[in-house]
Amino acid sequence: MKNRRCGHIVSRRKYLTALAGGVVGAAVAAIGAFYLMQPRTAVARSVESIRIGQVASMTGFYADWGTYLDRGARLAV
Amino acid sequence: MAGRPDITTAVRKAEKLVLENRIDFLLSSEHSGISLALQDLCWRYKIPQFVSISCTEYLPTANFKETSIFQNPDMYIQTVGFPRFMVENFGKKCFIFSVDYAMGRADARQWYWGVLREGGQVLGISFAPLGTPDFTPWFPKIKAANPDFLVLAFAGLDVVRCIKQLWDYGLTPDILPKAGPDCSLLEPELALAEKEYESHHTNQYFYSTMDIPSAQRFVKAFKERWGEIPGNASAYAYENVYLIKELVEKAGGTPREVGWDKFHSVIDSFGEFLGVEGRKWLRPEDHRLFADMTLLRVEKGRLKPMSVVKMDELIKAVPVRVGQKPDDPPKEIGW
Repeated sequence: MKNRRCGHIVSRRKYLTALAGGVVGAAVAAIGAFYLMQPRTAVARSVESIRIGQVASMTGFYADWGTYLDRGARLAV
Repeated sequence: MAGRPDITTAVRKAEKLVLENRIDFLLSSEHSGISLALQDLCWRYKIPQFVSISCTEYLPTANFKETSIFQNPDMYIQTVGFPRFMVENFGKKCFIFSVDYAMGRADARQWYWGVLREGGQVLGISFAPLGTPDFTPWFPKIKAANPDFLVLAFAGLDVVRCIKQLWDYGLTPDILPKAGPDCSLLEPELALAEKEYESHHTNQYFYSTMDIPSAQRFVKAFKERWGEIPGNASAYAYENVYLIKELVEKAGGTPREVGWDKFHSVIDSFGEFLGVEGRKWLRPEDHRLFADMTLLRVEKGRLKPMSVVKMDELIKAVPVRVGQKPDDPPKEIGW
């Protein structure tokens, strides 16, 4: 068929496929942009490492608590 | 550091970290007394101190210094909704049993006022030294007072020992319901006294079964790395490193690089922080981080949420008290 809108002669199937692909692509792009614009929680952040200087951890005063604290900090660095 | 808390040694070692190792930030500490001492030291050298688990309310009030930031809730925050829950559900009469140093004193002080605020009555307060091996000498007084519930303000293995001994003494949860601050129950240590912790009440910003994706991602990553579930202290330390990262990014460098005044202005204008437990807010005046607070009960070895005090309610209920000394309970009550 002749598709006046596109100005080309294309089959109905190709036209509909292209249209559907465009819709899906736009939806994926919109969802992706929305996702990327959301603020990230610590774990979920796409983390770019930066130099934050030297961080010291003063722990070990209270049974295993220092270990728990250290492990949390070490997971982040 | 290892062994019993020694504030002098802690300060000496921290000073060495500052002067010789040239640290830029200090994560400190799990002990309120030491965090207080390091607060002064960090202020002197303009080293930001990120507190992950010390809960004495002196830190963000009477002793507040602009170099300190508090990721965990202090005892003013922890007693906004918790005493109300205990008084409404278990009765008006309360006994407070607490460890005798800055943390336990803060817990006892704020629970005392919290219970009174809710129309309850504190029958007595008893203190035991940190590291007490045998708590049974204190139990007859608690039993004789016949409270409706017991506030147990210990931490670490002290609280595990105490709660086991209370059970052996016959003060089981059905006889004497119990409540304790966030440090009274560390999730990785729940298995050490699972039977005795049953029906224990606590409150937390973070707990490992929080039904939000960020918390579950953190729990998964922590388990994969360390082979155990994270407790609140791990979550707050983790968040503190990310908070440092965001502050450095916003300031354009560490305090040594950009100057304390610039770094401080970034802290004060920072505002909202996304932690593993969701939205948190850094209040510029006293550097407390607020989040929704969940009241929890142990059921079958797991923390079950009972109610939530929303962040906005906490902020309203806990005004800025920089430079103000918290009021102590009367001496005759056992203070």
